[in-house]
Amino acid sequence: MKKVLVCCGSSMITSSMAINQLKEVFAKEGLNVQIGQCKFSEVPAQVVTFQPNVVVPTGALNEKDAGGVPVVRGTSFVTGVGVEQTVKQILDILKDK
Amino acid sequence: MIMNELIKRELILTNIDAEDQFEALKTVQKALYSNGYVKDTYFDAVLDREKEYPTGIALGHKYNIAIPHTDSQHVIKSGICIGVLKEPVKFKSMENKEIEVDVKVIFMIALNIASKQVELLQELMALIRDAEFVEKLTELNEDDILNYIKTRKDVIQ
Repeated sequence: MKKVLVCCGSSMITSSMAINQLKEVFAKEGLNVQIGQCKFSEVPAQVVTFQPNVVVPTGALNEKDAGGVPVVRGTSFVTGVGVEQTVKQILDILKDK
Repeated sequence: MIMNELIKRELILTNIDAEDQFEALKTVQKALYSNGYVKDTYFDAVLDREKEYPTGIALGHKYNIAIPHTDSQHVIKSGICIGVLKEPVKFKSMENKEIEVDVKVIFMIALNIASKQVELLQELMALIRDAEFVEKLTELNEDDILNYIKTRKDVIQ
């Protein structure tokens, strides 16, 4: 199963906003995707244990923390601007493998 | 929904005189703290978080906004404080720490986390995406802001 790791600064607020929207997208696309959620500081460990196909930070994550896993910036899920493009990037990665 | 549950008259501030981000945040958090929404640890937690993971957002409107917030452990009850500044102050961008944005309206968020409140926040963000909404906030006084938000069909639903 494909996995997406959604992360945010600390409070889980903005990552929850992103997850709500991603769930809808995956349902619409008929994709079975497991979604993980964590804080930025937990990303290096989560990349190892959860093994996501893509990491979606809602803010300014240091991309090195993703340990080579593709990162798609998900700030648009918070601002609402550019969501389609973000979704397309995520879907492209998930469908590719 | 947001209106009734999160935005209260006591949490709307206009004409805030602030030299910089620190002063602006301090004034806005005072409304949350003095009205019993957040603990005394909230302000420092917001400042720390803002340094590490900034919340300035440029939406291409006339005025930029910011959504400072922090962990729910510092929150007593949920509320959103709207702070309109006399003159914009600089925040770093949520998307890219290297970029600074001039913020005129601050939405300081205090949530004791529950998934429903995330939906409410999504409603708020939908309003913020509307350039007219943000511009109205910069023009009206506190009471009129509250009345204006009440007139928004998308809030009342």
